[in-house]
Amino acid sequence: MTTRRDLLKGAAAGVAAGLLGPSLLTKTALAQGTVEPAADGVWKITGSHWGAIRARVDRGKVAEVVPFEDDQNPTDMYKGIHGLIYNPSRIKYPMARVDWLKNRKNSDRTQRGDNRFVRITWDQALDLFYEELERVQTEYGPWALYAGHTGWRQTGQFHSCTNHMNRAVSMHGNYVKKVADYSTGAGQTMLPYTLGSTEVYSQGTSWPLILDNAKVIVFWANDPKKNLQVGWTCETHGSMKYLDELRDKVAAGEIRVISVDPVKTKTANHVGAEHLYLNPQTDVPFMLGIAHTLYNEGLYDKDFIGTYTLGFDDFIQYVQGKADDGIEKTPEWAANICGVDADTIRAFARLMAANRTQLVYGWALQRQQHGEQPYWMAAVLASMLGQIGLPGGGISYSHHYSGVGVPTSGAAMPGAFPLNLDLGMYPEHDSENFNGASRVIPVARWVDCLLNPGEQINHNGNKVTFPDIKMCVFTGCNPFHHHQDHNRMREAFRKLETVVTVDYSWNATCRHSDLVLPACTQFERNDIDGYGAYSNSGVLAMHQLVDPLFQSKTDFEIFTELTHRFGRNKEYTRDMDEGQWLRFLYGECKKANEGKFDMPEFDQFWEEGIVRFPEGKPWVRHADFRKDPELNALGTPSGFIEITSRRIEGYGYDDCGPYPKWFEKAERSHGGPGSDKHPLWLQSCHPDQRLHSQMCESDEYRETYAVQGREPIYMSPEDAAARGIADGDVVRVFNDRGQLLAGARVSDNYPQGVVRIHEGAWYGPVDASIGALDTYGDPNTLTMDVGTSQLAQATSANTCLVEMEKFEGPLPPVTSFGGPTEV
Amino acid sequence: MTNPVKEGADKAVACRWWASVLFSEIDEKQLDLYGKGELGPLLEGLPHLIPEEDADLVEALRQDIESWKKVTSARLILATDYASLFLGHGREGPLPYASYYYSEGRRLFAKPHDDMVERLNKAGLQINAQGQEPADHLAIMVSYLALLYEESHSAAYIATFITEGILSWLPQFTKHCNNVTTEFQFYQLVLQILQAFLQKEAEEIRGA
Amino acid sequence: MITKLKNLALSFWRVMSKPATKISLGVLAFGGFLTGIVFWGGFNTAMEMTNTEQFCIGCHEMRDNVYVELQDTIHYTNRTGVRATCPDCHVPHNWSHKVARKMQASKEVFGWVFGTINTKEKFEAKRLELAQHEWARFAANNSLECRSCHNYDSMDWEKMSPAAKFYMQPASERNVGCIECHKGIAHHLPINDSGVNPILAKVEQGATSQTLEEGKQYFVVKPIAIYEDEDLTKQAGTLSYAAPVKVIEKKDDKVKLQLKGWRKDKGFGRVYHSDFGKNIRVAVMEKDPAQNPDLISVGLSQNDPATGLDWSEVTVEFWAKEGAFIPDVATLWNAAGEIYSSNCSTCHAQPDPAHFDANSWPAQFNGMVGFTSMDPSTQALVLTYLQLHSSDYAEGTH
Repeated sequence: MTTRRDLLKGAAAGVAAGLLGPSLLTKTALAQGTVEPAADGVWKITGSHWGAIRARVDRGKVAEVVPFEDDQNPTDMYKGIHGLIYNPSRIKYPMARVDWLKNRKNSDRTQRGDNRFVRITWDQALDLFYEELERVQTEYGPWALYAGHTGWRQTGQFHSCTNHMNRAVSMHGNYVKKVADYSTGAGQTMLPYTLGSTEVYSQGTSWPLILDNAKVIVFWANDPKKNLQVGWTCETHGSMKYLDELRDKVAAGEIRVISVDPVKTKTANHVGAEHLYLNPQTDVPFMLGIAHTLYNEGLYDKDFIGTYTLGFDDFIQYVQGKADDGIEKTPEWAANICGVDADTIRAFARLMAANRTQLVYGWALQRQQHGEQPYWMAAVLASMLGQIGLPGGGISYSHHYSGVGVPTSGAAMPGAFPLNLDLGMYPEHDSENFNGASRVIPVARWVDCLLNPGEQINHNGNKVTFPDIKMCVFTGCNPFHHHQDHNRMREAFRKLETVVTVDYSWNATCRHSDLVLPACTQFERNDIDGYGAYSNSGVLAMHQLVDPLFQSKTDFEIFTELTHRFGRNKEYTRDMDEGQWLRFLYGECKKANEGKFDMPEFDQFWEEGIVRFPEGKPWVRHADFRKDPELNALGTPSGFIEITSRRIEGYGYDDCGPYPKWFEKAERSHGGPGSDKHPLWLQSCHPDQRLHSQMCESDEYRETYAVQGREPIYMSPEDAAARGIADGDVVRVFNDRGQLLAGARVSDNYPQGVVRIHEGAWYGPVDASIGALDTYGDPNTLTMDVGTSQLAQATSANTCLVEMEKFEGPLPPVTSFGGPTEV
Repeated sequence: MTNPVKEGADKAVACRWWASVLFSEIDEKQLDLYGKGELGPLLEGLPHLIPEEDADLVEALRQDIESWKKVTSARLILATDYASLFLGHGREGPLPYASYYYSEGRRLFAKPHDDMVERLNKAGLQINAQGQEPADHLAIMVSYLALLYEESHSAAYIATFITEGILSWLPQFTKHCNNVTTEFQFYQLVLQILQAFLQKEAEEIRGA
Repeated sequence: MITKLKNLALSFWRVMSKPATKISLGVLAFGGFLTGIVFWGGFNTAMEMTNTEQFCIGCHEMRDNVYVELQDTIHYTNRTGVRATCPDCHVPHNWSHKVARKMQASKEVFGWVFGTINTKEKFEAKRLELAQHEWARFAANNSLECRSCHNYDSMDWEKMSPAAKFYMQPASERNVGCIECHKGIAHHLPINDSGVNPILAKVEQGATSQTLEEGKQYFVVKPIAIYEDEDLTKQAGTLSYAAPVKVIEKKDDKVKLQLKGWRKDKGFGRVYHSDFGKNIRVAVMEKDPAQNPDLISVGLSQNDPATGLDWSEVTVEFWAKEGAFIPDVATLWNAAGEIYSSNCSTCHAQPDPAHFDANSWPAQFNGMVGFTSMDPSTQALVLTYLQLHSSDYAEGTH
């Protein structure tokens, strides 16, 4: 045995101890040789956007994840949760972009996205964060800070990172915020004018009533089987069984389901729907052709129109070609644009008029240029059919979202950590001087804002003046996933002096930032959540599975320490720790439910893991309006359904008229503008195996669907054959805005001229240059960054044409994720 | 054959140095020591621990360290190099964990991690509080190796650990690090020398 | 019988009005003085005797109900052993108020005699009424009895839990009466009131004691029924939050009120709004009364170019109960504002009320309100608040 004296004799022993450092290993208190008893571990319960799970934790590691037994239809994605925690893209330490660290606001930003980073301590990181907030508020003002950006964050009501960041930053100073979101920007702005409510986030008619009463169900650009896998809060998947029941009813010939969509969707295939193909982006002409039929064949409900709506006559003048463009919107006219023949259009109109028809619209439809129009037109169509407010009739814009259609229990759900300041709290820098600029901007125009400060745009009847933003703080979101035209975005990012991002994995937004702070995943902290965002089926305990990995922290800790720097951490936390907050939030929920729903004391709840509430009563959307339109007036300016909106007419926008209209798109496939150069329509809908960009970094799960390590691009056999592309090939997809590599998946669910890449694919450009090839396949490398119209100024992602070719030559490795690709 | 005791001591010290270099960035104090040539004794001992044909690696290392003096912000540059190689912020940044190269690859906290945890448990060891890294981090494995030398564990055990625990993946890791553009070559050379040492050790023990 | 009493009274008067002949002034005075002491002492002793917990719980109605409830609370048993007895809270400490209270308490003796709450069921049925009497008494003197022990000026905020300090410090600054928030601190709450927002409850409380004067304008503090007739038997409709009314006539606790509003000339036209073209509800009439020309007078029809609808001004006169009207609507809006802020900022920052105009608010509100747990009544309050503080009414909006 070498003794210490022997060690000293070695030549190498002359090395200074300082160069060796302390040993990384020390003796434990346990006697040498004691092995920890091989336990199988403990089972814990928690929740997520993908559903509730039970996880077995063995010796500090998550060993096994299974769906919560209440969940009758768990999504396959629970298998990706292990990889969400243990993936190589995890942010381990606070990091700073080296050039920014040296030169701060004067750093060279041309290499953003491809810069080198260096590790810093938490203290250094938070000091820098605070210094920058101070600098921006004092050198500039509240107009220069943008910290209100939107995202899906992780689940859990206490640890809602959006709330943590906004409260902390609000305590320091005011800043520019946003309105609307990327999911439903056009719809939520448009529908209040027509139906008096945002509609898109509203509970809908209960599925049992639809199944019992509807004879025809139309899924219009809607894929609930795919989208109901995830939820805003912990998803119960309670609506999945209704899709199965629907499938059975279709098979028995009791209900006809028609899926109006260029693509044969997952839902259509599952329930056995009839596929009604139409050319992409031509839904409005199709619906105008239907309206023409209903009107001219006397099939529309005159009483309903008279009692419940305003403005029908002006609209019909347009349909009849007696006003506006003077073109009669006959089925023949429509067929020319939408590719559905005139007879089919007429038959479809007659079918809907003759039967109890439930219209169910999806959100992808309004994420295109003039996205307000199809939603408006759909409401008019529903009005003409006159079945709004009847069970199994009328229109829904939300049945694919978070379990809408499962009756609400009526129980109160737990509140959250406050997003706002408490009464009587004021920010350190309380200036409200936004220098003549708007303090709220439409979210999808924030890159325009970066590129053109001072510019004025129209938005929803108002004028918005873009502030001159210098600094951004991001948390719970990934702008480099959801915003369009990444190359344009890279240009815009070069204008920012400081970008601070708090996240748990190294996505593209982090790569383009200056300060990157590691938050831990939701599985590394305790929390509570509502079970079922609309069903309110219960309250779920979220047990911490493992300690925060590496040096990550909860957002609560991060922002407590930030506010500590200006002496207000106690105010920020209300002097309560995680445990106290959970008890407080649970207690308030229990109080709110007193006398209606029983809830045990916190400790019992925490041990049992869940409080369940009984299912609520079935309900019909708009029924009370139908019953008494005066007493239960809609939230429109008149209280009635406004087919024509005088208010919108008053705005005088050339891209959003007084009634729903057909506007040609900037680019459109199948004979539309730009289709000669780039003939393929790129559909970038919500993914089937992620929540947006969340879980893309779960390597073990991504490998189940990636094609040669890239995001799949789905295409028709015809388009593949015409280009010599085989299933499994890597293809380069491109247009004038960018280029990417993706893996070909040939499928006859896709018609000629249509390709799909799911959004949320992690952007991995080869270098920092504008126009750099994206190695993984993020569709937003190719999409167009324009507002839907001057009304909503929302995202137009689905107005996008591309071309593709088989990729020849040495394949560049995928650079989106942590770790080298070749292993 | 040279003095086994002396050699064991040298190996232990070398491993302690490797672990320190691989685990965290060089701080101001250490930079100063390097500048004063305090690594000298080890640099003299290293060529004896690695194959002859790799001896020029040590000279290259010495020269690299010398070149630090010519730059004003050497510490920041070295820290940046370190981050690019060991802290994985994407774009092919290599990851210094055995798990990453195990089986289907691209995993963390996989079997190699669990194996290492078991080894440490059996030896009554724990990673000290400053370490927030999993047990299969290269630095921790090399730190364990240092203890094996210090406590004169059986050559067979040492050889098995080197071969199965480290050499099963180190060459891949070193190769990836060689492909990363850095300002200095310090870390790449450190890894190459470590790899050479381990390969020689394994061969000799097997051969002996 | 009457004559006999009359004679008795007369002879008594004759004796008392004659100056004394045999008894000296000193004796009379001193005797009177002693008698006074005895009487006063006896009076006070009797009074003090009735001011003890022993006395109160002598009646089983008190002993078996509220006394049992008290024993579970902090006012009965706590760390320091300082406790309150019945009179500490329920008998005013101020002497004249004490006497007044005692006189009022004779009603309670009646109750005991006639057994109005002598069973559990009867007690529970009356609990709300009993509670409301006490709440009104506390409200009237700003919880003076509580303050004989609890003093805002002596509160050490740093010793409080953060949640407690969060509520108490602002309350102290506004000198809020303790009972406004701490109902149910010593005895069980009546079930109806367990969910009422304390700030809103205070406003409603204020209305119950507001006396209305003819010719003056008031605002209704919560939705109430309105009637065609003075006897309040034929319901004409319902007033909505903050409806502005003028008192035309007053009869006891009933008032005849006038409301001016605007209705849409479509359908029954039975929903009345605060202003032309504004969907801010002030009243909803029943279908028949809405068409009754004796009840409603309708002005000329005007077209609203914003929607194309025709509107008419309406004036309606009706009867209602006093007790739900306040002269200053600001207190109601303060309550509504706090409810809005706390309910609507869970997931995102709530929009400034002036961010939308009055007719845009219903759509925004309808889309989001499902995510809160506000009951329909509270929803109506918050929506009206938002509409009346919308960009149509606020100055300098963005």
